[in-house]
Order: sequence, then C-alpha cells, then structure tokens
Amino acid sequence: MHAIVIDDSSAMRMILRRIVSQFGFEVAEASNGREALEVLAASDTVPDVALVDWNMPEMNGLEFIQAVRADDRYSKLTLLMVTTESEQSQIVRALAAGAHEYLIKPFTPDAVAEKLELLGLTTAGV
Amino acid sequence: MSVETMVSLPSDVEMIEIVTQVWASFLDDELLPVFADAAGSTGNRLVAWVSISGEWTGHLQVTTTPGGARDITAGMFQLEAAEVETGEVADAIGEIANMIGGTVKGMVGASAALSLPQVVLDASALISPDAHEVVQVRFQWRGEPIEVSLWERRDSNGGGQR
Amino acid sequence: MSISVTDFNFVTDLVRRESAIVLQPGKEYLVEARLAPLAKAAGMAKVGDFVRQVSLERDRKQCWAIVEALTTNETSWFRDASVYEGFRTELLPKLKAARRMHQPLRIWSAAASTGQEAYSLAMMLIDELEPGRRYEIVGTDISGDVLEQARAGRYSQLEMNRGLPARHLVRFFQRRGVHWEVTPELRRDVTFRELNLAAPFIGLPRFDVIFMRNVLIYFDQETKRSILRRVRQVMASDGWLILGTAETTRGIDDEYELVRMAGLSAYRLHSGASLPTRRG
Repeated sequence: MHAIVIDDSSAMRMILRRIVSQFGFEVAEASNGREALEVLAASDTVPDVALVDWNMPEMNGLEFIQAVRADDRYSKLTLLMVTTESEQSQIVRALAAGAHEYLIKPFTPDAVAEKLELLGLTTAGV
Repeated sequence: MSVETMVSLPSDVEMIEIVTQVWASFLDDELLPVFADAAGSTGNRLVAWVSISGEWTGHLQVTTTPGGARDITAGMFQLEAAEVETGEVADAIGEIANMIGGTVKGMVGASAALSLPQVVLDASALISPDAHEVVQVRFQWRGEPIEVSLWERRDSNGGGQR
Repeated sequence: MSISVTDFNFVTDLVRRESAIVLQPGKEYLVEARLAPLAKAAGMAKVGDFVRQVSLERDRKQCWAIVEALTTNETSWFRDASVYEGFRTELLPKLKAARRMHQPLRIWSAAASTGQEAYSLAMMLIDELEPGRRYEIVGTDISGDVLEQARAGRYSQLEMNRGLPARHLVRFFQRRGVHWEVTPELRRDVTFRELNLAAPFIGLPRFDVIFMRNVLIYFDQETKRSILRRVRQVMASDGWLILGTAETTRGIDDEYELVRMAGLSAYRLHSGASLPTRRG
C-alpha cells in the first residue's frame, strides 16, 4: 500500500510518516499541492491514500483535492484531509470539493488508524 | 467601515483545553496548568509564534526553556533528547504554535489567515509594542515551564470579547 | 519504541486468548501507547520492561489490565464497524418488516458511558429509517458522571476524531467553543438513565434490540446469569441481544440462541421460549 503526505510543515510530515508507515504503507511526501501533483505524475503507481493539509503555499489542499478529483488518472486515490481548520463550513467545503474524510489537528495515532479503517484502507485488528 | 465585529476569544479554561489536547495527541498527559504568578523569567527562552489576521488580528505565542523545547522535540519525533538538533527544535515548537494557533483561529473568525510559524531560539523576553496580551496560560511539564499567550494588535478592527 | 517482537507476540497471544481479538502487525504503536500508563503505574519507564515482567510473572490482574487496555475503545464512534454494518444490513430490515410504522423501534444501549454508542445508533437510524417511522434509544450506565456528558452530548475535539465519519460530524454536531455538541435532531429520541445492571431493571420498556457490549465481563458468573435472565424480560419475543465480539451466553443462559449474520453475531430467544409478544 502507498500513501502520500502533503503538508508544508516538516514536523507534521515526519509525524504522519511515522504513524502511517507503521500501518504498512510506503510513504511519499510533498510540501504543497503543486509539488504533490508533480510527485503523482512522476510515479508509476497511484497511491492508495493522500493525507492532505489545507493551508500550504503555491497550491493549498483544497485546490489539490479539486485538481485530483478532476483527473481520471487519480479516481482511485482516497483523499483524507488533515488540518487545523475546524469550522463546520470549512469541513463542508472540503467534502464538497471531493475529500473523502477529514481529520482535525491535533490527532492521536488511534484517530488516524480509525479514519483509515473507516476508509477501508486497513482492516480492524482491535 | 465602522461596524465593530465582536469576535469570541478563548477563555483561560478553553486555552488550557486546547493546549492540553495538543499535548495529549503528540506528547503525554503530564501537562499541568499552573496559576501562581511567575517569579519573573530568568535565563533564555525559546519563543514560537503564529500571526492571525482577518476579522481579528494578533498572534499566538508559545514560550519555554531550551530544555523544555528539547524535550518537546524529542517526544514529538520520538528521539533521544541528546540527538535533537536545532532545526528540529524550531520545526517542533513551530508546529506546536501552529496547531494551537490554528485552533484559536477557528474560534476567532472564519476568514482569518494563519502565518507560518516564526521561532526565536534565544530570547530573554519578547516584547510586542503594538499588541497587548489578552489570554495567558502557564503550565509545568517535566519540570519545565510552558507559557501560551494570545496577543491582540492594538489597532485590530474587531474588538475581542471573552 | 521499547517493545520487542517477543514482547509484542506475548501481548497479541494474550489478547487473542482472552478476548478473541487479533492485533495485526503494525499495531505496535498501539501497544506502546495503551500500555504506557500501566507501565508507569508499575514504576517502569519502558513498556517493554513492563511486558517482560508480566510475561514472566503472569499475574492475573496485570494480564487482564493489559487485555482491557488494548480492547476497550469505549470512546469511539461506531465502534466495531462490522457490528453497525450488520445491524444495518441484517437486523434493521427484519425489524422494519416485523413492526408497523406507528410502532417506534426501541433500542437499549446498556453500557452507554459517554453516549457514543447511543448517538451512533441514532445517526444510523436517522439515515436508514423511512420518514414516519420513529425510534427510541435508551442509554443506561451505572455512573452518573459519564451520563452527564452523554446527556449534554458535548465532546472534545479529540473525542470527535475517533471514528466519526466527517459527513456525520457536519450533519449532527455544532461547534461550541473548543467542543462540539449534538444537534437537536440527533438528541431528540435519545435518553439516558442511571441503571445498575446487577439490580432490578425498573421502568424499562420492552426492547427490539439490546446492545450490551463488553460489560458482562465485569460481573461474576452468578450476576451474569441474573442479568441475562432479566434481559429476557425486557426483550421483545422477536428481539435481539448483541454482546461484545468475544462474549457469549453459552454456559450462562440457555434461553438464547446465536444467529450468525454477515459481520454480526446476535442472540434471540429460542423459538420455543414462551414470552408475551410486544403489544404496540
């Protein structure tokens, strides 16, 4: 299984990489939406899941999600938004743009595990 | 535009809750709020902050000792304290400020923007002459002091209410 | 991380033996996080050292504490997705067919705690039931404190992150400062009451489905027997009892029969058991 973590904070990328790789994913990284699109285009395999921050320079998470959902190549890519944005209206915007699920920072590893299970990307072991 | 928009600033209790949740997620549950007046800060401090701008303007600041910052970094990145590098400290404390600031931003206004975190590694005090402190909470964590404060720009359009 | 492969294997074997729950590889972080408080209470800084000591001494209480720490996840929404899925695809259609529209479906969440199970069931029913068909959910718990939170329907950001689909978050909750509260729509037909399962069930209606998950384990054999006997009296003759995935009525009460459905095992009364049918 493959994942891509997209966040402009290297600390957050490191934390998410650690958590997600413990579930058996190979993890790629990008620091903004535009870079993420480049990583996707350059790769042979489409990742199973993208963990996407919202506020990033050059191309933010919402724009990235819109771009991915408009591109048939990435129709199988599951989009999990991971962000501090916690206003109801923001969550609605993200889901309307095509995010499959949404996780509000800060989060525990358990919370990530449960979102991935919800999305059918991991099986429940506990 | 002369309409005053009232925004809702977090109370002390809410700020304590926000910081506690960040700690519970990435560190541990040993963060203790302290309420006694500070004896006056001595020695170096590390300060990280993020600016919030929109209907309400100000910044969220996290202050701790170099030792506290090193322990936070070691905990977040699961390193031994001795292995921690300066760049990593800046990243870790900056991210703490970012997460607390992000949550506060959600409370003060939907259309606010959050800046990238700024970190000063070596300061005995940080003074913001054009802002005043509107929320301050203090903690003890593993014997180190942690202070989180919210500052409002003096000419902020929205007068904050608590 | 301080736990070794041997430590992890000891823990997974223990958990599987005691609870039938399987910890997959990849859950080492979970073992580390959940057992850290136990290690600390035992005076050990490293979880690995704690596990090693327990594996040598095999102290019953410590073993059980480990199993509990790894298998209870009370604060999650829609805990055990396969149970909710099975309820939705297997039990609900049966109940809808067996009940007239004016008969509200009655559901008991018998270890309601802070209310996540009761409200999760309500979310599912709001989605699944036809307009005009009502439901009543009763959540009970021995602890008044946790019920306070359940009644308030107020949850922290961390609690909201636990297994709650985002579409349900935006539909059924409202932000209140640093917390979230259930909407009036979700709250409407859910009530909470204090109840000690070991004592008589006073004033409970007859239920169509009873969720009593991972709570019987806290009682001795005699009390389990008493509880299951009294549960039969508040269960519709064609009603269902759902226990925790590793629990069984076998050896405790023979009036129940196990039915395995897709993803869900549930108990109903033996067809031979004579009980009055539910009146309205």
